[in-house]
Amino acid sequence: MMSASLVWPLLRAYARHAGLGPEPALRKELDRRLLLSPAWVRAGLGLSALLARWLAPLFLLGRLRRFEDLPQDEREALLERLQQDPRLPVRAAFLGLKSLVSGCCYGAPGFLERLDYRLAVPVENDA
Amino acid sequence: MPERFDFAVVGSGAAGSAVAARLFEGGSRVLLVERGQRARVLPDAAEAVSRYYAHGGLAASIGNCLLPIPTGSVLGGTTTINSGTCLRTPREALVRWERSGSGIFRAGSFETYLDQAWERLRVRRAPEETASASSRLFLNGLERLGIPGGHLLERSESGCVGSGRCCFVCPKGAKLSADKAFLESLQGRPGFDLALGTSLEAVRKEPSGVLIRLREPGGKRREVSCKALVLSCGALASPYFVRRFRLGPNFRLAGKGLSLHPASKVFALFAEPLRGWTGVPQGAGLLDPEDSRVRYEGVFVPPELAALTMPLEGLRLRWWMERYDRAASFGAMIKDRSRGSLGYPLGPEFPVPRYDMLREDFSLMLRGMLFLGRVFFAAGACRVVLPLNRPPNEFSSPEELAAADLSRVRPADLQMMAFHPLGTCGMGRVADENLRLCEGVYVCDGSVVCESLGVNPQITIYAFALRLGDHLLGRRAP
Repeated sequence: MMSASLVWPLLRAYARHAGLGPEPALRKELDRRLLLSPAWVRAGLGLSALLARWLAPLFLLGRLRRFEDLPQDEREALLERLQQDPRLPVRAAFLGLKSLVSGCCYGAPGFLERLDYRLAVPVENDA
Repeated sequence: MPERFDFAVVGSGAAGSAVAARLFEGGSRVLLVERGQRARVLPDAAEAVSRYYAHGGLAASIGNCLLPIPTGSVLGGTTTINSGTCLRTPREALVRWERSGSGIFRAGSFETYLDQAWERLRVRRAPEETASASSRLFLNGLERLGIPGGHLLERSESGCVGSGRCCFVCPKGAKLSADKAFLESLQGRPGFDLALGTSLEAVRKEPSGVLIRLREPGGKRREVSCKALVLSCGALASPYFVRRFRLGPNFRLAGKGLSLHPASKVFALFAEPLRGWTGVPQGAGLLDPEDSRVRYEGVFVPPELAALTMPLEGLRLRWWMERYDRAASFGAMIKDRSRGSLGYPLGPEFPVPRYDMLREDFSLMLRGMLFLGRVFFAAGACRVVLPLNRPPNEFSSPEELAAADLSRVRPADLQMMAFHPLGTCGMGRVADENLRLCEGVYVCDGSVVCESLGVNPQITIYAFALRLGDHLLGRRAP
């Protein structure tokens, strides 16, 4: 899936930055979530990931490096800048991407178990 | 030859289900069309959002702020993925509608329909034992501050055990969504046809009524002729059809007058584990004691979706997420005076709401979030996060919160959502007081509610639907 290959480097760098993992589980979660999304959403997320990896460091930090190649403190600064950016196209793209990336990291069963939270809900009926 | 029904209803949300049931129970042959499918209980809230929320939950308004607008695209519409909270239409709104009309809309009569909806939905106060930790802490904080009025909310449910998943398809089937309350007894009965996965493609007026063209799953077309068509596609979609097929003399006004009832929430961290994901997330509420345009209601997002809703990033986000079992949250909603409009550059599937938040609404939102922060600190919170995308948004004491300088905050800095889009085919503006657009075509959903109600609107929408059902059946209004 093209969008997964575009988002994966960003997700891996994001997860490493926050000390989250493991990577195989994250990759599996990414594929699962992308498969659930309509094609236009997948395309948008892939494009947003490209922009976040390549253009955001240049325009928001003045650094000609990809997101994953930035040192830890600059990655943190870039994430904060993206979170705080008031421009709506940037916010919309960032929130879409955040829903996927943070969902994969913090919605992964491994992370949730540490909170003593389990995804499995007993299925008792078709609502 | 097209199939013949007495009535066709498009959309199975609060209005669509209720009007279809009323018409069928009144002896009519009814076709109910729903673009989505029947919901299944899913273990992962994120998957439920992807499957059952319109546009995968990514629909949002643009303007001077970004406002995601989650609505349902599933049997039962938004009622399948809402909190089930029921608040009656404010009496003053009903009186206003009566006074501004030509005498057809009567407040007293409408209240009878509110009562009927209330009964059918088995509305009752959320039992105390199902209250979430956030609700208990909020009520506790109010008590410590000496603020009266905090209460458990009334909800449409039967047998709720506080699974905490109302917005992601109730796992116990306890929440009475529109399909449960109105359609369950109808399905499979002769004269009632539920067409799932089917979308409306065309509407044509004919001498004998209305001819509609539908697209079924797999792309097959279906033509139906009926005495009357009811559009109940929701405030974001119905205006498309009104404009596209020039339904009524005021079709050009459809899509304008959008109110959103903007909402935001405050997170608070406590010393003890709370497991905030258990209990009814929207179990308690309060009308602001000083400004009735601000309403506070419980909210709690399950952990698999929580990171998205926190206005933090990087290591600060991780810090909070690792402590999410100790987090509580509560929301504020603003009865907005701002109005937006809808555009459809890519058709009905992609409404583009445009909404600029007025300064006065923005000020109310700031006031609401500061109030919630105060209440949480009074309840014993050790840290609070306001829904601002930039500092100052995190506070560790009530004094720090009171000294916060928010003078540079703008609407674009707020992290908000809008759960109650209304008004885009307003009664008396686009539709008449019987909700008629033109001969044989009616609209009934949140779009006809011509002002921001300041309360969760589902009971109002149900009441409009029951009233329209009686009108179409030729019954006299009570």
